[in-house]
Amino acid sequence: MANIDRRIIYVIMMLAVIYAFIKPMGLPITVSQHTKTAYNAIDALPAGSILVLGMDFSAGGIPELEPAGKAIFYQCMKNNVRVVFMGMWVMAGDMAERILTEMEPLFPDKKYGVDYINIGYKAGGAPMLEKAVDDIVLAAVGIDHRGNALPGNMAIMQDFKSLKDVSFWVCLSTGTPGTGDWIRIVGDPLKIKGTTDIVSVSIPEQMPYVQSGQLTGIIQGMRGSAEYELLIKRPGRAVAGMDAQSLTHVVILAFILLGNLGYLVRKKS
Amino acid sequence: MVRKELPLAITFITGGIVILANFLAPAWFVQTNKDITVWYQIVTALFCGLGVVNLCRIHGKKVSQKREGWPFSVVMLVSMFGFMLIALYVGQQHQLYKNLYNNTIVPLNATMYSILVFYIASAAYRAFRVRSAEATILLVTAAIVMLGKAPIGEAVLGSWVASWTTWIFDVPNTAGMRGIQLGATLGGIAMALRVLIGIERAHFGGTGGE
Repeated sequence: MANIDRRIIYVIMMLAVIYAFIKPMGLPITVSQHTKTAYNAIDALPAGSILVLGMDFSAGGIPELEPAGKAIFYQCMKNNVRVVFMGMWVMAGDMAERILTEMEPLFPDKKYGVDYINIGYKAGGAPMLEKAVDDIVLAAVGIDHRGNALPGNMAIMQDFKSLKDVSFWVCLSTGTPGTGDWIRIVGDPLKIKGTTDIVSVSIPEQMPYVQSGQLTGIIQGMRGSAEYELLIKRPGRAVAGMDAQSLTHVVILAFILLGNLGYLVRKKS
Repeated sequence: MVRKELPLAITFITGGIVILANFLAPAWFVQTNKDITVWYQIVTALFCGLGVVNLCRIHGKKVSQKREGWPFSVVMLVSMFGFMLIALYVGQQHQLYKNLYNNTIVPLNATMYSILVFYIASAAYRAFRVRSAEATILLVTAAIVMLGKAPIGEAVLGSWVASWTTWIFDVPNTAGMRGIQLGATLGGIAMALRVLIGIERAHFGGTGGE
C-alpha cells in the first residue's frame, strides 16, 4: 500500500476524469464571496464604460480561465459595457479570438471596433503595460490582432486612448507577467479597480492583494469560473469540469490515505 | 574594457534613470524613462528573431550531423517555418491558420499542462506522509482545501469544509504569503542594487559575482 506503482495511479486518475465527463453527477456549486464581489463590481459598471480583459495566459490555462473570460464578456455585452482584449503573453490574441468565435454569434448587434476590440499580444511585458498607460496606440505599435490599423476609424478607440480611460480591468493569468503587473502599473497608480481569474496553483500568492483591496474579489481557477458561469446563469465548461475536479480530488485523497496506512503498518512492523 | 565596463555603465545609467523617474520624477528623467520603455519593447520584439536564429543554429546542426533525435528537430523546424509562412501568407484570421492553431498548438500546449494532474497525484501519494506533527498539519490542511475546492466536499461533508477552506486561504495562507512576498521583494531590491553597481555580473556570462 505504501508503494503503489505510479502507472496504476495514472490509470485510475484517467478513468476518474473520463467517468466524470461521461456520467456527470451535477453536484451543487456554492458561489464564494470572492467571486460574488468580482461579479458585482463588473455588474455595477455603467453602460458605455470600458473593461480591459488582460489575456495573460497560454493554452494550458484554457480549462481554468477561458470559461470566466467568456462569462465576463457575456456579462459586459449584456450590460452594454465595452471590452478590450489585450495581453502580455504570446498567445493572448489567439486566446481572445477563441472567446470571440463563440461569443460573437450570441450578440449579432455588437460590432468589432465599436463594442469590443482585440488588441492582441504586444511584446514588452510589463513595460508594454506602462506604455499603454500613456498611449495605447504606441504600446500596440499601431495595429490590432486582426491587422486593423489603430486607432483607425474604430469608434471604441475614440474613447480608449490609454489605460487611463478604463473603468475596470480583469487579468486572466497563469503566471508572470500577469496580475502583479496589472496591480503595480494600472490598479494602484491609476486607482482603477480590477480583479483576476488565476489558475488554482497561483491563488495563494494573490490572496494578500484581495485582503488589501488591491484586487476586487478574485475568481479562483476553474471553481471560480464555474461560479461565475452560474452567476451569469449560463453554465458551461467550467461547471461541467467541476465533477471531474471532485472525482480527481477524491482519488488523490484516497491514495494519500492508502499511502499513509501502508506507511503506518510498515512502521509498526 | 568594452566587453565588461561598457555594459556595466549602460546598466548603471539606464537603471539610475528608471529609479529616479519613478521615485523623484524630475521631468527629463520621466520623459527618458518613457523612451526607455519604447526601446525595451523593441528589444523584446527582437528577442523573438534572436530565438529563431538560435533554434535554427542548434537544430540545423543536429539535423546536418544526424545526431540522436534529429527527426524531432526536423519536425520542429518545419512546424516553426510552416506556421510562420502560413501566418504571413494568409493572415491570422484565415480559417486555415485558425484550424492549424486550434488543432495543434492549443491541444499540445494544454496537454503539457494537464498531465500535471497525474504527477501531482503520484507526488501527493508519496509525499503526504504523517512522519511528524508538521507533516500531519500539512496533510490535514491539504485534505480540507482539496475537499473544500471541489463541490463533492460540501455535498458529502457539509458547508463547514468550504468555510474552513476560505479561512485557510484568507488567514494563515495570506499571512504566510505576505511574509514570503515581502522577503522576496527585499531580496529583489538587494539583487537589483547588486546588478546596478556591478557586484552581480552573472548576466555577462560566467559564474557571476566578483
